[in-house]
Amino acid sequence: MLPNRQRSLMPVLMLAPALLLIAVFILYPLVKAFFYSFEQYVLTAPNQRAFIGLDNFAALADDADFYLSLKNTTIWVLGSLAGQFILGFALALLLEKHFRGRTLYRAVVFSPWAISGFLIAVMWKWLLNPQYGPVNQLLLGAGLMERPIAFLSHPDFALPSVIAANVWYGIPFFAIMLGAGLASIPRELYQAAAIDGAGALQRFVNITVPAMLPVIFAALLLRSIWIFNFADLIWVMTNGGPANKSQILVTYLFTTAYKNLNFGYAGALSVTIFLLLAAGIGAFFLLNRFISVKGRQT
Amino acid sequence: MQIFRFIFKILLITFALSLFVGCGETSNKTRVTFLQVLGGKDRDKILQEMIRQFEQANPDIVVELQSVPWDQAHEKLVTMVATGSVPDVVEMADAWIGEFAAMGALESLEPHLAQWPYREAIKDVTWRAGRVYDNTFYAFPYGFYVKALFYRKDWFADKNLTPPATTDEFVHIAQAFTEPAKPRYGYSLRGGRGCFDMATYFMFVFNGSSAYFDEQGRSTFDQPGAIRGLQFFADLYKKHHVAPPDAINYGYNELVSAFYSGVTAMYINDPETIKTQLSHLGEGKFGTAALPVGPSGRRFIKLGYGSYSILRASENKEAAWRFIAFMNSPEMSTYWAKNNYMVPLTKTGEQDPYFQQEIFKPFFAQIAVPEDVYFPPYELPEYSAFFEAAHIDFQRLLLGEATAEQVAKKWAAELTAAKMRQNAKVD
Repeated sequence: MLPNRQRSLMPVLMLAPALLLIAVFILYPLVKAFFYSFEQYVLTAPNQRAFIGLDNFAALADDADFYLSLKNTTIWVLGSLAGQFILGFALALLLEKHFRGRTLYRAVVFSPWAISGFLIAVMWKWLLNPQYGPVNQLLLGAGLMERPIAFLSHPDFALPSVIAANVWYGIPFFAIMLGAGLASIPRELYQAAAIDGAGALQRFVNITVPAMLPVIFAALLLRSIWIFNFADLIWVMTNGGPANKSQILVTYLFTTAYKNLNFGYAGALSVTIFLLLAAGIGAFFLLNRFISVKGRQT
Repeated sequence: MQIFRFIFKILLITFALSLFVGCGETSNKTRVTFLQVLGGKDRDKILQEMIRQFEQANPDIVVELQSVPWDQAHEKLVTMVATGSVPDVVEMADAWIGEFAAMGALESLEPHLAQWPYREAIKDVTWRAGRVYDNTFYAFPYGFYVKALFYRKDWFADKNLTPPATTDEFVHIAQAFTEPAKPRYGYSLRGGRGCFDMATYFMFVFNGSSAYFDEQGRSTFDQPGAIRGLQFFADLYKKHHVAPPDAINYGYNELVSAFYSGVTAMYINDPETIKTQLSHLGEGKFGTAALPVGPSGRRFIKLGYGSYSILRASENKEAAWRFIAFMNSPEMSTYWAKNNYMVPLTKTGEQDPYFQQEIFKPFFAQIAVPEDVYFPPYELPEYSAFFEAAHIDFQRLLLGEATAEQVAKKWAAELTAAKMRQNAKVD
């Protein structure tokens, strides 16, 4: 056994590498971006660097592209989240049942999760291609439309198309998370409820949903942050286009920093994004507490 | 605690081994890192071969090739410069010269060039190209890009057509090939990243001048002729529908692949795309022609180029220069131009039997007329960012959210403002 003093140091030592990495790669850039946001700092004009107070934020408040990206981000996160959650939950429920070849089937439906976002984007780009993409061929063949649609280049379809790809990508995540949650609900509860005469719907509403709430909340929270920051699909499939119609905040930030080289403005943008995300997560926790308190009261 | 002792031992052994390996490396060779920004398997192979020859001739230098794909190159280099961990030599895109020179990231090559033995061998235009910023030689061009028209020879023969000589003919011929049901379209229009080059082409040939700015330093982009040219370019998509519907998002790869996959009959781009078309379509199925002249009766050819630059923060500038000097020597630069399909650096490079092929002729013929050739304002530090963002405005025009006049005026205002800032700095 180690002496006492060493034992109390041990946890700190074990955590040190992780904390150090976080400090270097997350905390430091975060603080740096915060300071940039009050500066006029364009990389191509290094001599004109100056403290300008809140000017960057004022410019942001008047920036139509910022609002468009904000709106797109909201649609992107909520749309992707809803699709992934509903279909993922359905899939988890289906996979609860025992049937022949379940293991194989499970492996197949979970496979999208193991593919890189970039590959998914390239694949969907091909699927939706107006000249040789299967989606257009199918819709044309079924007589549902007369001429092919360039989904990724159409101002109304570009964002829904990337959301569709993202939903497809994220279903397995929810199916895995929620499937694990489902497996942990004691079977006896269902048996007892069935004896008491509860139907399938009643059992779902009164047993499955309440038991699953904590898992659902954790999964939704993790996922929404992740989708918010997930730019791969958009970057590859539409590059934010056409005309910013599928630009989200993160891709807009990237463009501002690395194409326009305006680090000051990008700093203001990233601070704003950080605050928005923090507010969103805070609201989520409040809602979580509110519901769980209410749940306990009933 | 056995496990910790075990890990510690492993670390110790690794450390000892690394010292040992390190010893082998510490010879007195100078290491030059070279970042190429159009990374790809083919290009890497050609460069590796040139580096091998350089190292053979210069046993005291080792060159380490770093390769980034074009799409990430700009941000990668920006980050490198911002953090100070730069390579010694970088492949510099023409549009970036003003930007990186303004950042103070590039080293002047003037003193080296003054003593370079091949000064007389390189094309005269190289001097202008290298000195766009502050009249100082910051980037040493290795060859030139010019755009010409690519067309499907077999399709044109079927319809008994010849490549269009004017912009009017261009529309008619593009219409003749357009059959959306097939799907087949006349023209691989570039509506996405990089569309600005094509927009300026049509704006200039309609306006009858390739001057970016008038005498007062005001952009010419909002002149009536220029607006008509932009309208013409947008109408190819909006009114005549001779471009595929997804062309609004086409970048370089898409416009080139739409051609070889049999979707489009024509596109306009650099000679390096010959290589791609050869590998997909094979010989004989496509040809090249001079760009169609506008209503002004003229064509204006933008001279693009790639260069080598030495970073100011480099610690091996002497060795870096020796590397560049070797790469741009007449023999090597022609080797590079041949393998890379571009206009060679030297005056005599074009006489190489290789470049006598029919497919190269339009490119050389176009730049043989000096008054048709122009440089965009590469010296403006904002040019690169402007160029990168212009497609968003153009897409708005294609979607009907903005008029040609609005877009032209916006571009003119931005370019004029950048020019004024530049002038203010110089005075």
